[in-house]
Amino acid sequence: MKSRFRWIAALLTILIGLFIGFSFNSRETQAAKKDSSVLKIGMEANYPPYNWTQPKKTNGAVPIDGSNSYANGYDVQIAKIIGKRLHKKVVVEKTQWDGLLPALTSGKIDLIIAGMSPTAERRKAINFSEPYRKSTFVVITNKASKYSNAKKLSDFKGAKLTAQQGTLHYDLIKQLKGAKREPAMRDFSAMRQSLASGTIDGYVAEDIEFESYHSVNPNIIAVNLNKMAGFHVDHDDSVTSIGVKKGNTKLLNEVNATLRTISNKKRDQLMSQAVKEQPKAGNETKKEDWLVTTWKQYGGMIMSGIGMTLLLALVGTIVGFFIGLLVGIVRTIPTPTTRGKRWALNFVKWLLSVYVEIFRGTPMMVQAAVIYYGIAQFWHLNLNRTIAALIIVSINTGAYLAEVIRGGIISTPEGQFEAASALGMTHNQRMWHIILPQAIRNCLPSITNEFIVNIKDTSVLSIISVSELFFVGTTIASQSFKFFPTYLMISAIYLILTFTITRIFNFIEKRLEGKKNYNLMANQVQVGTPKDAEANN
Amino acid sequence: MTESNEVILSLKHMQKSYGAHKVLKDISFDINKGEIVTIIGPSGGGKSTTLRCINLLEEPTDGEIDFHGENILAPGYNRNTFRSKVGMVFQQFDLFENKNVLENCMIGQELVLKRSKDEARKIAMENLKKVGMDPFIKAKPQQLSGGQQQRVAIARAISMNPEVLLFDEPTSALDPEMVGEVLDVMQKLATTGLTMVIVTHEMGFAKSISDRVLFISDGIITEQGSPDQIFDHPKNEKTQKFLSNFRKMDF
Repeated sequence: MKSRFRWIAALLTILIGLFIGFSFNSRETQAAKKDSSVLKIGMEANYPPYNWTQPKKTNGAVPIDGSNSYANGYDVQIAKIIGKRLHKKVVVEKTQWDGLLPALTSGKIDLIIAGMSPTAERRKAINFSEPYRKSTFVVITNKASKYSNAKKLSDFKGAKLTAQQGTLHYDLIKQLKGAKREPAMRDFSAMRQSLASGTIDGYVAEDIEFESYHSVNPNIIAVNLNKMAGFHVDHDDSVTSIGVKKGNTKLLNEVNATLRTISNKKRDQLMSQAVKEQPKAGNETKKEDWLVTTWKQYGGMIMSGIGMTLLLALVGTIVGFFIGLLVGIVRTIPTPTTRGKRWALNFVKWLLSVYVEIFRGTPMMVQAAVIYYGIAQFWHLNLNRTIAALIIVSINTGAYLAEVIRGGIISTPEGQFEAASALGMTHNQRMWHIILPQAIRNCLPSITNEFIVNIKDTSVLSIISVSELFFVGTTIASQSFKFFPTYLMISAIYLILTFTITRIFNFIEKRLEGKKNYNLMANQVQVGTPKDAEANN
Repeated sequence: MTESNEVILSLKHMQKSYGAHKVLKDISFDINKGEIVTIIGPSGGGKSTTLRCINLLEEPTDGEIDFHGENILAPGYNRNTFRSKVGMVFQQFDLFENKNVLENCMIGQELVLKRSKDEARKIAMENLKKVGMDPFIKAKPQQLSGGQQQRVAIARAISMNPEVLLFDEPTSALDPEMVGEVLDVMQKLATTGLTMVIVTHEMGFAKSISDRVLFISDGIITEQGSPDQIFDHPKNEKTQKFLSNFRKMDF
């Protein structure tokens, strides 16, 4: 018993240590958030040359909140001009494309500068500034492709085309009669990769994406769509604007005033500079050096990604375990003899089953989005991202483990309950001293399982931009354009983590089982178990 | 067998049914201080259920159980305190699997009676010595034989210093050669003046140890009286028939 407590104590100490380390980091950024002298810009930081992520603070990059990396690009340079005018320091909140609007409406960011077009649909949710970039639509395809000479819209008949998910580009494919519309993709790096590997014939994008990709891959060509007969795009759709929260007219006016001071010439200059500076897949040095260079460049990011993943999984599983214990205990309380208590207990039990049903019955990704953005929008509580992630993983795991532990409690022999009751123990004493130690030992394989699931499933938290291992992997892949090796490396890391943790838990399991032999107190003779004796016969 | 007239437990028209099936129809009897009562009767007649109702492991559906004159079935009655004064020894021993022999005997004392660790250990050791299990204090229950486990279970129960000790067929799950060691321990206990209620199929043992014997069948007490009355001059037909099965064996 004692040694078990020591185990738990040791685990907790490590945990708290980790947690303090992390929260120190995040507290700094949190302090920065509250500071009104900071302008928080939302962008993917993954859409060169508009915006991208880089590990060093070169070429006038600005820090990305909650990470050790920096953002740069055309959007960032525009943001800096606005920040300068407002006398505010620019900080980038790296946010996935789908998360940008909710992040703005819930007040987690001040502006969206992400190469976003002010479509009518988006205008319903947020306000847009005057355009800061006007673009031409093109189909990007290989020079060798038969579609590279297309002259009219119908020339794309039979072409497998795609575009970025949730963008106008994807709808434009419909105007290319006869083209096969492939499923939309998450970002341009994925499309570039697909084009290179031949799974698509081309993708719809803006001319600037062509310029930027052309600088690293000269074998591609852009087919201009704007000039083709019958091609129609709203003015709103062909420009990119800055998103501002509705009602914040003061900021909107200031942004517009700033944009007016930036001449077209200056804009072109900024854009071509961005195209030049953007990260390149490049004619990379030597192939065998890939791992080494990646490590040199992104090692820190990977390590902190591993740390974050482990922290989330560990805290989530442990807190979830205690939630599960409490739920398990409450759910097995015997019916009280007085009516009031009976009613209260039934109500609490009902609440708990609602909790289990809801969190077991919805995807963690959805829970994360609802909790992180929802709380900010409706209660104006700005949760720290890491804290939010920890809470989400914990309550989600709690719901699963509640059932696991209930199963463990039920499978403990009835006689153990009865013997404890007959001694006059209260429900709590019965549970903590007799039933749970046995139930938990029986549940341990399931708990290990849940821990491993957590290590992998925390990857869905990338939706709220928690920089865990998968998020880091995506970033590296989209910057290095090395999809296969990057994800292979990330999966190897996941495998190492889960493998190690399985061994650790197996060890704990063995320890909990205790010794097979015992000493007779009278003569100190070792005696085997009756089973051993039987085996010998 | 220091019998007095002080009534500790009193069952009044106790009934128990599972749905439509009535297991106990009407059970009434008193247990006096220092008395040793054995309950015999055919399987399924309600012996064990009666015993388990006394300890509230089963909830009686009707009737009353008075402990020192107070009805323990009343809402709000402190059942845990009551149970700590009424010990129980189970057919399947039911030692705590996660604790060793010594801890099994200490945990109730520490948690329920709030005794200090040292005191609890001292009492547990005394009682383990009484049942002859003191060399095994470090062993886990599954490492012991059935007879050894049952002796530990008895030590666990008496370490609580109960006013009444209930035995629910304590030897039925044992191999024949282990029955003796458990009965010996019980015999020894009987001489200490402890109040005991024993459900058993060991007729010879029941005859020699009891002050009073109850014969329960079909959910009612068919006959009760001194061991001589029940075993040698049973009046009821059912009792006679039941005992004639045993008479073929020697007791």
